[in-house]
Amino acid sequence: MCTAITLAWREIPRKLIRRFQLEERVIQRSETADKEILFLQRHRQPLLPVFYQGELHILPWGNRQRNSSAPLAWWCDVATLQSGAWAQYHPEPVEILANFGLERGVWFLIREGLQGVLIHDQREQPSVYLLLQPASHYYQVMTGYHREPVFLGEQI
Amino acid sequence: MGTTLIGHIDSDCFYVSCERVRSYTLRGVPCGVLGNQGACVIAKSYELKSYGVKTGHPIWEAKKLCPHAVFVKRDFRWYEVISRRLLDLLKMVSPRVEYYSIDEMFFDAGELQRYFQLPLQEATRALQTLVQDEVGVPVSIGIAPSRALAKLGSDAAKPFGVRIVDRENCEVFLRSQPVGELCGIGRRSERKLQDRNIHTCWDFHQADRLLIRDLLTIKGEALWWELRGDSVTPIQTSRPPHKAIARGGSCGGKTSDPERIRAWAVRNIERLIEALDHHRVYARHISLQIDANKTALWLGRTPLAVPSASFRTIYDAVMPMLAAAPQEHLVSHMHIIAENLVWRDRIQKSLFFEDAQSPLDQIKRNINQKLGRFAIRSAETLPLHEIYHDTTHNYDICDISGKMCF
Repeated sequence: MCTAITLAWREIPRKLIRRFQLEERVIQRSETADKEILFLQRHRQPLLPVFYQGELHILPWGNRQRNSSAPLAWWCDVATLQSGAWAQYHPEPVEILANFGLERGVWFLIREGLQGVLIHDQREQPSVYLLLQPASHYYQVMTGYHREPVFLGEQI
Repeated sequence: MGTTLIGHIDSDCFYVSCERVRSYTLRGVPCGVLGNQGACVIAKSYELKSYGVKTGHPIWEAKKLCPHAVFVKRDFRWYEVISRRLLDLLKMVSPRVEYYSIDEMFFDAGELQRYFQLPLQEATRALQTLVQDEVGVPVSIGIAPSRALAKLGSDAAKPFGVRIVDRENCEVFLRSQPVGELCGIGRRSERKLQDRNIHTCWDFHQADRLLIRDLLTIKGEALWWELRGDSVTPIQTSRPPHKAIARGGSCGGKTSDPERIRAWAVRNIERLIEALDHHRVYARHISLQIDANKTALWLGRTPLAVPSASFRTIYDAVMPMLAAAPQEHLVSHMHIIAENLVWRDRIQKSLFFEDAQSPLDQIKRNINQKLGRFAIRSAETLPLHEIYHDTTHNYDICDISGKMCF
Protein backbone atom coordinates (compact mmCIF):
# COMPACT_ATOMS: atom_id res chain seq x y z
CA MET A 1 0.00 0.00 0.00
CA CYS A 2 2.96 2.28 -0.77
CA THR A 3 4.46 2.35 2.69
CA ALA A 4 7.33 4.69 1.90
CA ILE A 5 8.48 7.30 -0.55
CA THR A 6 11.75 9.11 -1.06
CA LEU A 7 12.53 12.53 -2.42
CA ALA A 8 15.96 13.71 -3.57
CA TRP A 9 17.80 15.68 -0.90
CA ARG A 10 18.47 18.49 -3.38
CA GLU A 11 14.74 19.05 -3.94
CA ILE A 12 14.03 19.98 -0.32
CA PRO A 13 15.01 23.44 0.97
CA ARG A 14 17.62 23.41 3.74
CA LYS A 15 15.36 25.27 6.16
CA LEU A 16 12.76 22.48 5.91
CA ILE A 17 15.45 19.83 6.38
CA ARG A 18 16.63 21.56 9.57
CA ARG A 19 13.15 22.33 10.88
CA PHE A 20 11.88 18.76 10.57
CA GLN A 21 15.25 17.11 11.34
CA LEU A 22 15.19 15.30 8.04
CA GLU A 23 18.97 14.61 8.18
CA GLU A 24 18.08 11.55 10.25
CA ARG A 25 16.13 10.18 7.31
CA VAL A 26 18.83 10.45 4.64
CA ILE A 27 19.55 7.33 2.60
CA GLN A 28 21.88 6.75 -0.35
CA ARG A 29 21.46 3.74 -2.63
CA SER A 30 25.05 3.73 -3.86
CA GLU A 31 28.17 5.85 -3.53
CA THR A 32 27.43 7.65 -6.78
CA ALA A 33 23.68 8.03 -6.28
CA ASP A 34 21.98 11.18 -5.04
CA LYS A 35 21.10 11.38 -1.35
CA GLU A 36 17.39 10.88 -0.72
CA ILE A 37 15.14 11.64 2.21
CA LEU A 38 13.05 8.70 3.28
CA PHE A 39 9.45 9.24 4.31
CA LEU A 40 8.29 6.03 5.89
CA GLN A 41 4.77 5.35 7.03
CA ARG A 42 6.23 3.48 10.02
CA HIS A 43 8.28 6.46 11.23
CA ARG A 44 7.38 7.63 14.72
CA GLN A 45 6.33 10.90 13.14
CA PRO A 46 5.22 9.98 9.63
CA LEU A 47 5.61 12.95 7.27
CA LEU A 48 5.12 13.66 3.57
CA PRO A 49 6.59 16.32 1.27
CA VAL A 50 3.57 18.07 -0.21
CA PHE A 51 3.13 20.77 -2.81
CA TYR A 52 0.31 22.90 -1.44
CA GLN A 53 -0.71 26.47 -2.14
CA GLY A 54 2.26 27.03 -4.41
CA GLU A 55 5.05 25.82 -2.13
CA LEU A 56 6.63 22.74 -0.64
CA HIS A 57 5.46 21.77 2.85
CA ILE A 58 6.40 18.90 5.11
CA LEU A 59 3.10 17.71 6.59
CA PRO A 60 1.93 14.81 8.79
CA TRP A 61 1.16 11.61 6.86
CA GLY A 62 -2.38 10.68 7.89
CA ASN A 63 -3.68 10.91 11.44
CA ARG A 64 -3.00 8.64 14.42
CA GLN A 65 -4.47 10.86 17.12
CA ARG A 66 -7.86 9.88 18.45
CA ASN A 67 -8.54 13.37 19.77
CA SER A 68 -8.38 14.78 16.26
CA SER A 69 -11.48 15.10 14.11
CA ALA A 70 -9.53 13.98 11.00
CA PRO A 71 -10.02 10.35 9.90
CA LEU A 72 -7.81 7.80 11.68
CA ALA A 73 -6.07 6.58 8.54
CA TRP A 74 -3.11 7.31 6.32
CA TRP A 75 -4.67 6.65 2.95
CA CYS A 76 -8.00 7.18 1.24
CA ASP A 77 -9.56 5.22 -1.57
CA VAL A 78 -10.50 7.19 -4.69
CA ALA A 79 -13.90 5.49 -4.73
CA THR A 80 -14.52 6.52 -1.10
CA LEU A 81 -13.60 10.09 -1.89
CA GLN A 82 -15.80 10.13 -4.97
CA SER A 83 -18.74 8.69 -3.01
CA GLY A 84 -18.71 11.80 -0.82
CA ALA A 85 -18.00 9.85 2.38
CA TRP A 86 -15.19 12.27 3.27
CA ALA A 87 -17.06 15.42 2.21
CA GLN A 88 -17.59 16.43 5.84
CA TYR A 89 -13.79 16.82 6.22
CA HIS A 90 -13.56 19.19 3.23
CA PRO A 91 -10.62 17.40 1.60
CA GLU A 92 -8.36 19.44 -0.69
CA PRO A 93 -6.32 17.83 -3.48
CA VAL A 94 -2.53 18.09 -3.07
CA GLU A 95 0.52 16.80 -4.90
CA ILE A 96 2.86 14.56 -2.97
CA LEU A 97 6.39 15.00 -4.30
CA ALA A 98 8.31 11.75 -4.65
CA ASN A 99 11.02 10.14 -6.73
CA PHE A 100 10.62 6.55 -5.59
CA GLY A 101 7.89 4.58 -3.84
CA LEU A 102 8.00 1.33 -1.87
CA GLU A 103 5.37 -1.36 -2.08
CA ARG A 104 5.86 -4.79 -0.51
CA GLY A 105 9.63 -4.55 -0.73
CA VAL A 106 9.70 -3.28 -4.32
CA TRP A 107 11.01 0.22 -4.95
CA PHE A 108 9.53 1.76 -8.08
CA LEU A 109 10.10 4.99 -9.96
CA ILE A 110 7.63 7.87 -9.60
CA ARG A 111 8.05 10.31 -12.47
CA GLU A 112 5.94 13.30 -11.41
CA GLY A 113 4.46 12.63 -8.01
CA LEU A 114 1.42 11.19 -6.29
CA GLN A 115 -2.04 12.48 -5.67
CA GLY A 116 -3.08 13.09 -2.09
CA VAL A 117 -5.78 14.85 -0.10
CA LEU A 118 -5.29 17.31 2.72
CA ILE A 119 -7.66 17.61 5.65
CA HIS A 120 -7.61 20.13 8.49
CA ASP A 121 -8.94 18.95 11.86
CA GLN A 122 -10.90 20.98 14.43
CA ARG A 123 -7.67 22.71 15.53
CA GLU A 124 -6.75 23.49 11.90
CA GLN A 125 -3.92 20.92 12.07
CA PRO A 126 -3.31 19.48 8.58
CA SER A 127 -3.01 15.79 7.68
CA VAL A 128 -2.20 14.39 4.24
CA TYR A 129 -3.69 11.12 3.01
CA LEU A 130 -2.34 9.11 0.12
CA LEU A 131 -4.98 8.48 -2.54
CA LEU A 132 -5.22 4.83 -3.59
CA GLN A 133 -6.97 3.13 -6.50
CA PRO A 134 -7.27 -0.45 -7.77
CA ALA A 135 -3.87 -1.52 -9.09
CA SER A 136 -3.22 -1.99 -12.79
CA HIS A 137 -2.22 -5.46 -13.94
CA TYR A 138 1.39 -4.29 -14.30
CA TYR A 139 1.60 -2.79 -10.82
CA GLN A 140 -0.05 -5.85 -9.31
CA VAL A 141 2.44 -8.22 -10.93
CA MET A 142 5.37 -5.95 -10.07
CA THR A 143 4.54 -5.49 -6.39
CA GLY A 144 2.05 -8.23 -5.59
CA TYR A 145 -0.47 -5.74 -4.23
CA HIS A 146 -3.96 -4.98 -5.47
CA ARG A 147 -4.01 -1.23 -4.76
CA GLU A 148 -1.75 1.45 -6.13
CA PRO A 149 -1.27 5.17 -5.49
CA VAL A 150 -2.80 7.63 -7.95
CA PHE A 151 0.17 8.68 -10.05
CA LEU A 152 0.39 12.14 -11.56
CA GLY A 153 0.74 12.09 -15.34
CA GLU A 154 1.41 8.38 -15.76
CA GLN A 155 0.00 4.92 -15.30
CA ILE A 156 2.33 2.16 -14.15
CA MET B 1 32.74 1.16 -51.49
CA GLY B 2 35.07 -0.28 -48.90
CA THR B 3 36.53 1.29 -45.80
CA THR B 4 39.73 0.63 -43.96
CA LEU B 5 38.25 1.38 -40.55
CA ILE B 6 35.00 0.13 -39.09
CA GLY B 7 33.59 1.38 -35.82
CA HIS B 8 31.16 -0.35 -33.50
CA ILE B 9 29.25 1.73 -30.99
CA ASP B 10 27.44 -0.13 -28.24
CA SER B 11 25.34 1.55 -25.57
CA ASP B 12 25.98 0.50 -21.98
CA CYS B 13 22.89 -0.95 -20.25
CA PHE B 14 20.79 0.80 -22.89
CA TYR B 15 17.27 0.64 -21.44
CA VAL B 16 18.47 1.83 -18.03
CA SER B 17 20.55 4.57 -19.64
CA CYS B 18 17.46 5.75 -21.55
CA GLU B 19 15.51 5.92 -18.30
CA ARG B 20 18.34 7.91 -16.75
CA VAL B 21 18.12 10.45 -19.57
CA ARG B 22 14.70 11.55 -18.38
CA SER B 23 14.93 10.65 -14.68
CA TYR B 24 18.05 12.20 -13.22
CA THR B 25 17.38 10.60 -9.83
CA LEU B 26 18.09 7.14 -11.27
CA ARG B 27 21.78 8.00 -11.82
CA GLY B 28 24.00 5.79 -9.72
CA VAL B 29 20.96 3.89 -8.40
CA PRO B 30 20.84 0.09 -8.82
CA CYS B 31 18.08 -0.04 -11.38
CA GLY B 32 16.23 -2.74 -13.29
CA VAL B 33 13.84 -2.35 -16.22
CA LEU B 34 10.92 -4.77 -16.08
CA GLY B 35 9.31 -6.51 -19.05
CA ASN B 36 5.78 -6.48 -20.39
CA GLN B 37 4.10 -8.01 -17.37
CA GLY B 38 6.23 -6.39 -14.68
CA ALA B 39 7.56 -9.74 -13.52
CA CYS B 40 10.96 -10.08 -15.16
CA VAL B 41 14.10 -7.96 -15.30
CA ILE B 42 14.86 -7.32 -18.97
CA ALA B 43 17.71 -4.86 -18.40
CA LYS B 44 19.81 -3.91 -15.41
CA SER B 45 22.31 -1.24 -14.49
CA TYR B 46 25.90 -2.17 -13.67
CA GLU B 47 25.12 -1.33 -10.02
CA LEU B 48 22.31 -3.90 -9.99
CA LYS B 49 24.42 -6.43 -11.88
CA SER B 50 27.03 -6.23 -9.11
CA TYR B 51 24.44 -7.70 -6.71
CA GLY B 52 24.12 -10.78 -8.93
CA VAL B 53 20.88 -9.79 -10.64
CA LYS B 54 20.75 -11.11 -14.20
CA THR B 55 18.54 -10.40 -17.20
CA GLY B 56 15.51 -12.68 -16.97
CA HIS B 57 15.49 -12.81 -13.17
CA PRO B 58 11.98 -12.51 -11.73
CA ILE B 59 11.43 -9.42 -9.64
CA TRP B 60 10.88 -11.37 -6.41
CA GLU B 61 14.40 -12.82 -6.73
CA ALA B 62 15.91 -9.50 -7.80
CA LYS B 63 14.47 -7.62 -4.82
CA LYS B 64 15.94 -10.21 -2.47
CA LEU B 65 19.38 -9.84 -4.03
CA CYS B 66 19.21 -6.04 -3.90
CA PRO B 67 16.46 -4.74 -1.59
CA HIS B 68 17.17 -1.08 -2.33
CA ALA B 69 17.11 -1.47 -6.14
CA VAL B 70 14.58 0.62 -8.06
CA PHE B 71 12.46 -1.00 -10.79
CA VAL B 72 11.11 0.82 -13.81
CA LYS B 73 8.38 -0.09 -16.26
CA ARG B 74 9.67 -0.57 -19.83
CA ASP B 75 8.88 2.10 -22.38
CA PHE B 76 9.96 0.85 -25.78
CA ARG B 77 8.78 4.01 -27.55
CA TRP B 78 11.14 6.13 -25.47
CA TYR B 79 14.01 3.73 -26.12
CA GLU B 80 13.35 4.08 -29.85
CA VAL B 81 13.48 7.89 -29.56
CA ILE B 82 16.90 7.69 -27.89
CA SER B 83 18.11 5.06 -30.33
CA ARG B 84 17.21 7.26 -33.31
CA ARG B 85 18.92 10.26 -31.68
CA LEU B 86 22.07 8.16 -31.46
CA LEU B 87 21.68 7.06 -35.09
CA ASP B 88 21.20 10.65 -36.30
CA LEU B 89 24.24 11.86 -34.37
CA LEU B 90 26.38 9.05 -35.77
CA LYS B 91 25.26 9.89 -39.31
CA MET B 92 26.67 13.39 -38.81
CA VAL B 93 30.08 11.96 -37.93
CA SER B 94 30.26 9.06 -40.36
CA PRO B 95 29.43 8.78 -44.07
CA ARG B 96 27.90 5.32 -43.63
CA VAL B 97 26.09 3.89 -40.62
CA GLU B 98 24.50 0.49 -40.15
CA TYR B 99 21.54 0.47 -37.72
CA TYR B 100 22.39 -2.95 -36.35
CA SER B 101 20.09 -3.04 -33.32
CA ILE B 102 18.38 -0.66 -30.93
CA ASP B 103 21.62 -0.09 -29.00
CA GLU B 104 24.37 -1.08 -31.43
CA MET B 105 25.56 0.49 -34.66
CA PHE B 106 28.42 -0.10 -37.06
CA PHE B 107 29.89 2.89 -38.83
CA ASP B 108 32.57 3.86 -41.28
CA ALA B 109 35.25 5.30 -39.00
CA GLY B 110 37.45 6.50 -41.87
CA GLU B 111 36.38 10.12 -41.41
CA LEU B 112 36.55 10.21 -37.63
CA GLN B 113 39.98 11.81 -37.35
CA ARG B 114 39.19 14.45 -39.96
CA TYR B 115 35.83 15.26 -38.32
CA PHE B 116 37.29 15.84 -34.87
CA GLN B 117 40.73 16.99 -36.09
CA LEU B 118 42.32 14.62 -33.59
CA PRO B 119 44.36 11.39 -33.65
CA LEU B 120 42.19 8.25 -33.79
CA GLN B 121 42.19 7.39 -30.08
CA GLU B 122 41.31 10.97 -29.07
CA ALA B 123 38.77 11.28 -31.87
CA THR B 124 37.01 8.13 -30.66
CA ARG B 125 37.00 9.51 -27.11
CA ALA B 126 35.60 12.76 -28.51
CA LEU B 127 32.79 10.81 -30.22
CA GLN B 128 32.03 9.03 -26.96
CA THR B 129 31.85 12.37 -25.13
CA LEU B 130 29.70 13.86 -27.88
CA VAL B 131 27.20 11.00 -27.57
CA GLN B 132 27.16 11.37 -23.80
CA ASP B 133 26.53 15.12 -24.07
CA GLU B 134 24.04 15.13 -26.94
CA VAL B 135 22.13 11.87 -26.47
CA GLY B 136 22.77 11.31 -22.79
CA VAL B 137 23.68 7.62 -22.89
CA PRO B 138 27.11 6.15 -22.12
CA VAL B 139 28.58 4.10 -24.98
CA SER B 140 31.56 1.87 -25.60
CA ILE B 141 33.31 2.08 -28.95
CA GLY B 142 35.54 -0.34 -30.83
CA ILE B 143 37.49 0.65 -33.93
CA ALA B 144 39.16 -1.95 -36.14
CA PRO B 145 39.74 -2.92 -39.76
CA SER B 146 36.76 -5.32 -39.68
CA ARG B 147 33.31 -5.65 -38.06
CA ALA B 148 34.13 -8.70 -35.96
CA LEU B 149 37.22 -7.03 -34.50
CA ALA B 150 35.37 -3.74 -33.91
CA LYS B 151 32.57 -5.52 -32.05
CA LEU B 152 35.04 -7.58 -30.05
CA GLY B 153 36.81 -4.31 -29.20
CA SER B 154 33.73 -2.48 -27.96
CA ASP B 155 32.56 -5.52 -25.96
CA ALA B 156 35.95 -5.74 -24.27
CA ALA B 157 35.92 -2.00 -23.54
CA LYS B 158 32.59 -2.05 -21.63
CA PRO B 159 31.52 -0.10 -19.71
CA PHE B 160 32.22 3.34 -21.15
CA GLY B 161 35.46 2.40 -22.82
CA VAL B 162 37.18 2.81 -26.14
CA ARG B 163 39.32 0.17 -27.86
CA ILE B 164 41.28 0.62 -31.06
CA VAL B 165 42.36 -2.74 -32.46
CA ASP B 166 45.25 -2.36 -34.93
CA ARG B 167 48.11 -4.48 -36.23
CA GLU B 168 50.37 -3.60 -33.29
CA ASN B 169 48.04 -4.61 -30.47
CA CYS B 170 45.94 -7.21 -32.28
CA GLU B 171 47.80 -10.29 -31.06
CA VAL B 172 47.83 -9.28 -27.39
CA PHE B 173 44.16 -8.34 -27.58
CA LEU B 174 43.05 -11.55 -29.32
CA ARG B 175 45.02 -13.68 -26.85
CA SER B 176 43.02 -12.07 -24.02
CA GLN B 177 39.62 -12.85 -25.56
CA PRO B 178 37.97 -16.29 -25.21
CA VAL B 179 36.72 -17.57 -28.55
CA GLY B 180 33.13 -17.64 -27.20
CA GLU B 181 33.20 -13.82 -27.09
CA LEU B 182 33.14 -13.69 -30.89
CA CYS B 183 29.77 -12.65 -32.27
CA GLY B 184 28.42 -15.69 -34.12
CA ILE B 185 30.15 -18.32 -31.99
CA GLY B 186 27.50 -19.97 -29.87
CA ARG B 187 28.00 -22.61 -27.18
CA ARG B 188 27.96 -25.53 -29.61
CA SER B 189 30.48 -23.92 -31.92
CA GLU B 190 32.63 -23.01 -28.92
CA ARG B 191 32.65 -26.65 -27.80
CA LYS B 192 33.61 -27.81 -31.29
CA LEU B 193 36.50 -25.33 -31.33
CA GLN B 194 37.64 -26.25 -27.83
CA ASP B 195 37.76 -29.89 -28.89
CA ARG B 196 40.34 -28.76 -31.45
CA ASN B 197 42.27 -26.86 -28.77
CA ILE B 198 41.03 -23.48 -29.97
CA HIS B 199 40.32 -21.52 -26.80
CA THR B 200 41.12 -17.90 -27.53
CA CYS B 201 40.42 -15.62 -30.46
CA TRP B 202 44.13 -15.76 -31.22
CA ASP B 203 43.96 -19.57 -31.46
CA PHE B 204 41.05 -19.09 -33.88
CA HIS B 205 43.09 -16.55 -35.86
CA GLN B 206 46.02 -18.97 -36.07
CA ALA B 207 43.91 -22.02 -36.95
CA ASP B 208 43.83 -23.49 -40.43
CA ARG B 209 41.19 -21.76 -42.58
CA LEU B 210 39.91 -25.01 -44.05
CA LEU B 211 39.59 -26.56 -40.60
CA ILE B 212 37.45 -23.58 -39.49
CA ARG B 213 35.35 -23.86 -42.64
CA ASP B 214 34.93 -27.55 -42.00
CA LEU B 215 33.86 -26.97 -38.39
CA LEU B 216 31.77 -23.80 -38.71
CA THR B 217 30.83 -23.57 -42.39
CA ILE B 218 31.28 -20.47 -44.49
CA LYS B 219 30.12 -18.20 -41.62
CA GLY B 220 33.00 -19.41 -39.48
CA GLU B 221 35.39 -18.81 -42.33
CA ALA B 222 34.08 -15.27 -42.72
CA LEU B 223 34.87 -14.70 -39.03
CA TRP B 224 38.34 -16.12 -39.58
CA TRP B 225 38.98 -13.57 -42.33
CA GLU B 226 37.52 -10.78 -40.24
CA LEU B 227 39.79 -11.61 -37.30
CA ARG B 228 42.73 -11.24 -39.67
CA GLY B 229 41.57 -7.73 -40.46
CA ASP B 230 39.99 -8.53 -43.84
CA SER B 231 36.53 -7.02 -43.87
CA VAL B 232 34.15 -9.59 -45.35
CA THR B 233 30.76 -8.16 -44.41
CA PRO B 234 30.27 -4.59 -45.54
CA ILE B 235 28.37 -1.90 -43.66
CA GLN B 236 24.72 -2.04 -44.74
CA THR B 237 23.06 1.35 -44.66
CA SER B 238 19.55 0.07 -45.33
CA ARG B 239 17.79 -2.98 -44.11
CA PRO B 240 17.01 -5.70 -46.66
CA PRO B 241 13.27 -6.44 -46.89
CA HIS B 242 11.82 -8.72 -44.24
CA LYS B 243 11.43 -12.38 -45.18
CA ALA B 244 8.62 -12.79 -42.69
CA ILE B 245 6.81 -10.75 -40.05
CA ALA B 246 5.30 -12.42 -37.00
CA ARG B 247 3.09 -11.22 -34.21
CA GLY B 248 2.13 -13.19 -31.15
CA GLY B 249 3.72 -14.44 -27.98
CA SER B 250 2.23 -15.37 -24.64
CA CYS B 251 -1.50 -15.96 -24.36
CA GLY B 252 -1.47 -14.52 -20.84
CA GLY B 253 -1.37 -17.95 -19.21
CA LYS B 254 -2.28 -21.44 -20.37
CA THR B 255 -5.77 -21.84 -21.66
CA SER B 256 -7.99 -24.39 -23.37
CA ASP B 257 -10.97 -22.03 -23.66
CA PRO B 258 -11.76 -21.90 -27.43
CA GLU B 259 -13.21 -18.40 -27.15
CA ARG B 260 -10.05 -17.02 -25.55
CA ILE B 261 -7.81 -18.85 -28.00
CA ARG B 262 -9.82 -17.41 -30.91
CA ALA B 263 -9.69 -13.96 -29.30
CA TRP B 264 -5.89 -14.19 -29.04
CA ALA B 265 -5.70 -15.25 -32.69
CA VAL B 266 -7.79 -12.25 -33.75
CA ARG B 267 -5.72 -9.87 -31.61
CA ASN B 268 -2.55 -11.23 -33.19
CA ILE B 269 -4.06 -10.84 -36.67
CA GLU B 270 -4.85 -7.20 -35.91
CA ARG B 271 -1.31 -6.63 -34.63
CA LEU B 272 0.11 -8.39 -37.71
CA ILE B 273 -1.90 -6.15 -40.05
CA GLU B 274 -0.55 -3.11 -38.19
CA ALA B 275 2.98 -4.37 -38.86
CA LEU B 276 2.24 -5.14 -42.53
CA ASP B 277 0.83 -1.61 -42.89
CA HIS B 278 3.92 -0.16 -41.25
CA HIS B 279 6.34 -2.02 -43.52
CA ARG B 280 4.17 -1.39 -46.61
CA VAL B 281 4.04 -5.07 -47.59
CA TYR B 282 1.45 -7.76 -48.32
CA ALA B 283 1.71 -11.44 -47.37
CA ARG B 284 1.45 -14.36 -49.75
CA HIS B 285 1.41 -17.03 -47.03
CA ILE B 286 0.03 -17.05 -43.51
CA SER B 287 1.31 -19.47 -40.87
CA LEU B 288 -0.07 -20.20 -37.45
CA GLN B 289 2.14 -21.61 -34.73
CA ILE B 290 0.62 -22.80 -31.47
CA ASP B 291 2.84 -23.68 -28.53
CA ALA B 292 2.26 -25.45 -25.27
CA ASN B 293 4.77 -24.09 -22.78
CA LYS B 294 7.10 -22.79 -25.50
CA THR B 295 7.42 -26.29 -27.03
CA ALA B 296 6.36 -26.12 -30.66
CA LEU B 297 3.13 -28.03 -30.78
CA TRP B 298 1.56 -27.31 -34.10
CA LEU B 299 2.33 -25.32 -37.22
CA GLY B 300 -0.07 -24.68 -40.09
CA ARG B 301 0.54 -22.79 -43.34
CA THR B 302 -1.97 -21.43 -45.81
CA PRO B 303 -1.21 -19.75 -49.15
CA LEU B 304 -3.33 -16.71 -49.97
CA ALA B 305 -4.98 -16.41 -53.38
CA VAL B 306 -3.49 -12.94 -53.83
CA PRO B 307 -0.99 -10.98 -51.72
CA SER B 308 -3.00 -9.40 -48.94
CA ALA B 309 -3.08 -7.44 -45.69
CA SER B 310 -6.85 -7.65 -45.35
CA PHE B 311 -8.33 -8.62 -42.01
CA ARG B 312 -11.01 -10.77 -43.63
CA THR B 313 -8.52 -12.67 -45.84
CA ILE B 314 -6.06 -13.36 -43.03
CA TYR B 315 -8.87 -14.25 -40.64
CA ASP B 316 -10.24 -16.74 -43.18
CA ALA B 317 -6.79 -18.27 -43.49
CA VAL B 318 -6.10 -18.51 -39.76
CA MET B 319 -9.41 -19.80 -38.43
CA PRO B 320 -9.44 -23.14 -40.32
CA MET B 321 -5.85 -23.73 -39.16
CA LEU B 322 -6.90 -22.96 -35.59
CA ALA B 323 -9.80 -25.39 -35.89
CA ALA B 324 -7.49 -28.09 -37.25
CA ALA B 325 -4.92 -27.70 -34.46
CA PRO B 326 -4.82 -30.43 -31.79
CA GLN B 327 -6.89 -29.42 -28.78
CA GLU B 328 -5.72 -31.80 -26.09
CA HIS B 329 -2.95 -29.46 -24.84
CA LEU B 330 -3.29 -26.15 -23.02
CA VAL B 331 -2.19 -23.30 -25.28
CA SER B 332 0.44 -20.99 -23.79
CA HIS B 333 1.87 -19.17 -26.82
CA MET B 334 0.70 -18.41 -30.32
CA HIS B 335 2.32 -16.75 -33.34
CA ILE B 336 0.81 -15.66 -36.62
CA ILE B 337 3.43 -15.28 -39.32
CA ALA B 338 3.14 -13.44 -42.64
CA GLU B 339 5.57 -14.93 -45.15
CA ASN B 340 6.61 -14.51 -48.74
CA LEU B 341 6.19 -10.76 -48.47
CA VAL B 342 5.76 -8.43 -51.40
CA TRP B 343 6.08 -4.64 -51.55
CA ARG B 344 2.70 -2.93 -51.85
CA ASP B 345 3.70 -0.79 -54.79
CA ARG B 346 4.88 -3.82 -56.78
CA ILE B 347 1.77 -5.94 -57.06
CA GLN B 348 -0.53 -6.40 -60.00
CA LYS B 349 -4.17 -5.67 -59.14
CA SER B 350 -6.50 -8.58 -59.79
CA LEU B 351 -9.77 -8.48 -61.69
CA PHE B 352 -11.05 -11.59 -59.97
CA PHE B 353 -10.19 -11.15 -56.30
CA GLU B 354 -10.97 -8.45 -53.81
CA ASP B 355 -8.38 -5.73 -53.14
CA ALA B 356 -5.46 -6.47 -50.82
CA GLN B 357 -7.12 -4.23 -48.24
CA SER B 358 -10.79 -3.39 -48.04
CA PRO B 359 -12.19 0.10 -47.36
CA LEU B 360 -13.11 -1.19 -43.89
CA ASP B 361 -9.46 -2.05 -43.21
CA GLN B 362 -8.43 1.43 -44.24
CA ILE B 363 -11.09 3.11 -42.10
CA LYS B 364 -10.05 0.99 -39.13
CA ARG B 365 -6.40 1.92 -39.65
CA ASN B 366 -7.15 5.63 -39.96
CA ILE B 367 -9.28 5.71 -36.82
CA ASN B 368 -6.76 3.71 -34.79
CA GLN B 369 -3.93 5.98 -35.93
CA LYS B 370 -5.94 8.97 -34.79
CA LEU B 371 -7.50 7.67 -31.57
CA GLY B 372 -4.97 5.08 -30.48
CA ARG B 373 -4.23 1.40 -31.00
CA PHE B 374 -7.28 -0.88 -30.85
CA ALA B 375 -9.71 2.03 -30.55
CA ILE B 376 -11.59 -0.03 -33.14
CA ARG B 377 -11.04 -3.76 -32.95
CA SER B 378 -12.84 -6.96 -33.75
CA ALA B 379 -15.64 -7.91 -31.36
CA GLU B 380 -14.08 -11.37 -31.24
CA THR B 381 -11.40 -9.93 -28.95
CA LEU B 382 -14.00 -9.14 -26.27
CA PRO B 383 -13.03 -12.16 -24.11
CA LEU B 384 -9.67 -10.44 -23.55
CA HIS B 385 -11.29 -7.64 -21.56
CA GLU B 386 -8.50 -7.64 -18.95
CA ILE B 387 -6.05 -6.52 -21.64
CA TYR B 388 -8.15 -3.94 -23.41
CA HIS B 389 -9.48 -2.37 -20.21
CA ASP B 390 -6.05 -1.96 -18.66
CA THR B 391 -3.59 0.10 -20.68
CA THR B 392 -0.68 -1.33 -18.73
CA HIS B 393 -1.52 -4.85 -19.87
CA ASN B 394 -0.62 -4.48 -23.50
CA TYR B 395 2.06 -7.05 -24.41
CA ASP B 396 4.03 -4.34 -26.19
CA ILE B 397 7.03 -5.29 -28.27
CA CYS B 398 10.29 -3.54 -28.98
CA ASP B 399 9.89 -3.29 -32.73
CA ILE B 400 11.84 -0.61 -34.56
CA SER B 401 11.93 -0.40 -38.32
CA GLY B 402 15.18 -0.17 -40.22
CA LYS B 403 17.51 -2.03 -37.87
CA MET B 404 19.31 -5.17 -38.99
CA CYS B 405 18.57 -7.50 -36.12
CA PHE B 406 16.76 -7.54 -32.77
